[in-house]
Amino acid sequence: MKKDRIIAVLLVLFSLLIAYYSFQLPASTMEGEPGSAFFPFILLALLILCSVGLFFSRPVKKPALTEEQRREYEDLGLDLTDEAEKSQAQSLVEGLLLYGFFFIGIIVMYLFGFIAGITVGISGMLVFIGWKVPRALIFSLITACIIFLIFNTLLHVTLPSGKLL
Amino acid sequence: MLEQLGQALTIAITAENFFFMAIGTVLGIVFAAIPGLTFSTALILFLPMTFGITPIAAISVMLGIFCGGMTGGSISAVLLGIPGTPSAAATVIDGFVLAKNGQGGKALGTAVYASVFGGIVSVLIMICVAPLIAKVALTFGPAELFMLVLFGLSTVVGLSEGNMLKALIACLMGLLFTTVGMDPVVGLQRFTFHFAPLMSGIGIMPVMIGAFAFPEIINTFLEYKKDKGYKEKNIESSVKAAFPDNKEKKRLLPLNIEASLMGTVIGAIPGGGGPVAAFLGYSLAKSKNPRCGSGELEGVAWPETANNAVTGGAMITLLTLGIPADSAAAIILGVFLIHGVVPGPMLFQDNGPMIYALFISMLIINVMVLVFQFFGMKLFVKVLNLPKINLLAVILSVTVVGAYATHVSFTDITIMFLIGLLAWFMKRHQFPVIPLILGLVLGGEIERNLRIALLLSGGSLNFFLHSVVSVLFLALSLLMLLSPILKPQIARLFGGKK
Repeated sequence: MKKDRIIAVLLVLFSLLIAYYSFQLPASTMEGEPGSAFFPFILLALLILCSVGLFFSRPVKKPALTEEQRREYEDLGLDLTDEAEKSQAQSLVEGLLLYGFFFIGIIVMYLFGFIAGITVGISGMLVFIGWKVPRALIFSLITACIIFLIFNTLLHVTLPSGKLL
Repeated sequence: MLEQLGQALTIAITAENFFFMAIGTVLGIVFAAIPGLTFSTALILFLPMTFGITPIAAISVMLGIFCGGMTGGSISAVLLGIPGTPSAAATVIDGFVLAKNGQGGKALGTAVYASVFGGIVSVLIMICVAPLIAKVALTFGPAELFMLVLFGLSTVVGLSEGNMLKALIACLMGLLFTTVGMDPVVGLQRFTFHFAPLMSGIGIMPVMIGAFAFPEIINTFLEYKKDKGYKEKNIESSVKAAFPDNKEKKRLLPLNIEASLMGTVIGAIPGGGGPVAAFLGYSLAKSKNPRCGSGELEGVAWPETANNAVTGGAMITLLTLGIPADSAAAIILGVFLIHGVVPGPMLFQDNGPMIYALFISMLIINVMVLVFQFFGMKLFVKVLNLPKINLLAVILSVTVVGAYATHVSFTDITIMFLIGLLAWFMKRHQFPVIPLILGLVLGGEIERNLRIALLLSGGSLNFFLHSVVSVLFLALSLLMLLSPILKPQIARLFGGKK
């Protein structure tokens, strides 16, 4: 598969980068002790081997459609390959956007504390999936406050307080 | 041993311990009953709440979630035809048919009865076998421990679903993460890039929270968006669980015993786990009763007995060797470490009463599962009607608490987020996540033992071939890693001979 090949190339590049940093680790002074770079080198070598294997691994062939199935799809006006690929690409973008909203919440949490961060992050995600803004904001704020009360006040578990507050 | 048992009883039978066992059991059942949530999420969620309680209570609540979770998945499996957890997937086959035929209560009652049977038998096996294994493990040196952990990791990789190469890559990534921070032998900093929070390494908790919770939550949010806010099915909550009658119990007894033994063994093998045990249990049930698949009690009892027996098996490997056999055991290992308790053979020597207290707690938890799930069935069924998106939004918020609270470090929240993103990509491209987690959990152990063994042998690799145990585990590891190539050859060989 094309995606597996891209992943394999990225893994090889990642391994080479880490190997470069591993070369900078000092050698051991104890006899027999292989040093700090030994274990990372073994892992990186295996990772490169596996990545090469992944690059050249044969994709699983999908079974060919029968004549009946092909007619059925044509009647429905569906081009299955295109539909599946579009749906995959769309869900990738939407998934990344959801993560993006949560990441914004993490930044707000770092600056303004737990309650603000959760309210912003979670409400952003809920609005994105179709909730109305007031409902999302109220739900997120109540959730953040209740969790803060339970953990910080009752259980004395420290929560982020915000650099700017 | 009697003295240790006496001390263990005073540790286990306290109001605090009972309270937390009960909380854990109920949480496990509730989370497992809701498809998509799973008890692993409950384990992760409750983790930060264990910081302020005693080690035994903390571990007991986790065991409660584990045991309750293995049983709770049968509720939605029977009533909705959707397994609450992967371990309950086999229960759907006959359980849902029974429910459609108006025997949902009997199916639910049989599931609870069979689960508790399997759970109790596996705990009894654990009580008998664990001290013996720990005694043997005490004789292991660094070479044997290295090979043992290698065997554990190779089994997880070998038994992973899908492409084994991808499982191996995931495992190697997990092992690489453990090289960040202080070198375990000489104390040098590695790959910290002069960033102080990374000196203590990449924490297990943020990685587990990110890897387990985030992909499921994000995927459920995406499904909700795609279906434009689907209306979840409302289940009638008047269903009443009913145990099998005496004749049925007698008929199921030999099968339950067999399934319990099988489940315990599978649970003890790294990478085994509930789903493997459940499906193996189901195929054995079908071989004994070919009518399975059309609504037979055997089709419910066998998988449920087998998957709950996994709990005792997993704890055998965790307590005696310090190796988590599955993801739930990996999270429970995290709780042990947070409370300064290191599982392994030394634990039996240094803290015998605690071990026996855990054994007693597991027995009590299984009884709680029976009582709560059977008599509280109507309440648990109502839980299925709760809006899932709201629950997941709350869970997402609590994951931040879990990640932050361990070291009170914002870096851990960032790590959780990045690992969550990585795990989501991994799942999209069919890379299994469990090998990554187990690589991270066991990486420190494997490197330390490897390097100590080399130090002791003056750099010679022959050191690993000096002991029978070491060679045995090496051979088993190679067998597991070569299994995708060997299996078809063996099948062809025996198929050809026929």
